[in-house]
Amino acid sequence: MLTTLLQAVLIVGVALPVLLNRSFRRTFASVKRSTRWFSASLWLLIVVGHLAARNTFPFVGWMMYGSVEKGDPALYRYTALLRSGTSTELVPSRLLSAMMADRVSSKLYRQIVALHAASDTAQQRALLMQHKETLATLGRRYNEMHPNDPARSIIVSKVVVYLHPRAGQYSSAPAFLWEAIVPQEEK
Amino acid sequence: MIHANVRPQTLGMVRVIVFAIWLAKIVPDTFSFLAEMPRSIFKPVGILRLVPHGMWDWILTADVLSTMKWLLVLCLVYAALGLRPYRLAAIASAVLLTLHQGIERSFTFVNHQDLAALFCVYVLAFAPAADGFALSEPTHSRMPQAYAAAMMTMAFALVLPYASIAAFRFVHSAPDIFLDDSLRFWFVSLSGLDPDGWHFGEWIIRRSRLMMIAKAGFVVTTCCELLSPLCLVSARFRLIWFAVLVPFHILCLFLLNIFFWENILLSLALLTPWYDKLPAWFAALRQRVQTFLP
Repeated sequence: MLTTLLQAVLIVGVALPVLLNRSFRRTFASVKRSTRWFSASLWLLIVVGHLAARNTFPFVGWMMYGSVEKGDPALYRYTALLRSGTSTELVPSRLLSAMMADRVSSKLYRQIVALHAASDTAQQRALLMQHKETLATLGRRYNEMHPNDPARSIIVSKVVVYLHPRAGQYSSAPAFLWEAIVPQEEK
Repeated sequence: MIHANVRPQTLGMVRVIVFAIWLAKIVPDTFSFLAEMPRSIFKPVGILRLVPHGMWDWILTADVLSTMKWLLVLCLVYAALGLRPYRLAAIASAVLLTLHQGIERSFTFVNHQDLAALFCVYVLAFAPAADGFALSEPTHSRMPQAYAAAMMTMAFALVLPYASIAAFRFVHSAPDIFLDDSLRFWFVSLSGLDPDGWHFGEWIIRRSRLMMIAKAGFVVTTCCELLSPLCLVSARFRLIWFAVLVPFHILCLFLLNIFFWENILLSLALLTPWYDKLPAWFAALRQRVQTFLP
């Protein structure tokens, strides 16, 4: 509550020179009341949506690079095992548009983070199933684009990058996490 | 105060820029892919919770999502050109964009990317934004200040989120966030999300001097973000803001694989009095062309 109040004070404080500006006030005094209401409502919703930081889309919390991170970051890699017996890295940006690929990559990452943070086994199992289903969707997409050598499954592995090298090592060895089966299209 | 005097043509040009930004994002988007995503991860966000639950079974099919996308593209083109009935096309664009962005977030996660450009669409749908620089016959609002008010509303809606981000950072995490390894953490985790993206983030964390500069830059950027609303009232601060925030956005591409190019364009369109210089630019261009003509 106190942090929300402090944020509100800061935002209103920096917005005041604009709101009190003579030219700004003159402009809004000379337009229709509906225009004034529209503008004020939009600004208010932007600020309230940010302060509430709840399920208020399209007025959302703006928290980019806002929380302290502890420990070493983990990177996750998705390797598609193909029907030919070879393997290839499964990269969302090669299968989807830039906007969609960013979202799907971050979603997969967040699913794994949530899975590791889940407290009970039932929740973990449900999250793992969702994660594998999401991966399988990506695998099907890969297969649509590579029908001659489709992916049969996707291996998820984890590499921890050491922010401060440990015994001369910059990262851990890749660790196998799990495998997601990609359903094959029937011909 | 920026935008104290705005002509209908100026607002019209901003209309074209905003709708063109959205066209550049929507046209290549593989939106119908979402129909293949598992329904168990779909959680309607914010205003989308008002859509009756049963409707989603119908909406979240490849055909409907694809139709929605191309209908949105049509509305965006129509609104960008300023064709009549402009208001209808602009409102339809605002509604469909909200739905589009909401559905993508309902399947993935809620963030703020693209939302400043969405707020501009809301303003352009409400304002007389097709009175100038439009294919339809020019009309003029009975209240010329309506153009200035629209520009000010968009400019303020663009800078408020910057101030909000900085306020959150200062209140929740300062000074630790500027001193500890958080910045290193993001450099690695975000640049590592896309194997095909830029990897300078993983490179820079091993260079202590560059990291010190990056951390100092993070503090300066956050201060500028907090003071962003001053861009509307101080020409001198605007210069500082651009000198800091434009390089910041560009560095984010190389260090974090995140590029808010639309925010750079919106900042140039809404936070600079570029249109004051247009007559002089056109005159210079005309003169240059005439020197080449026989």
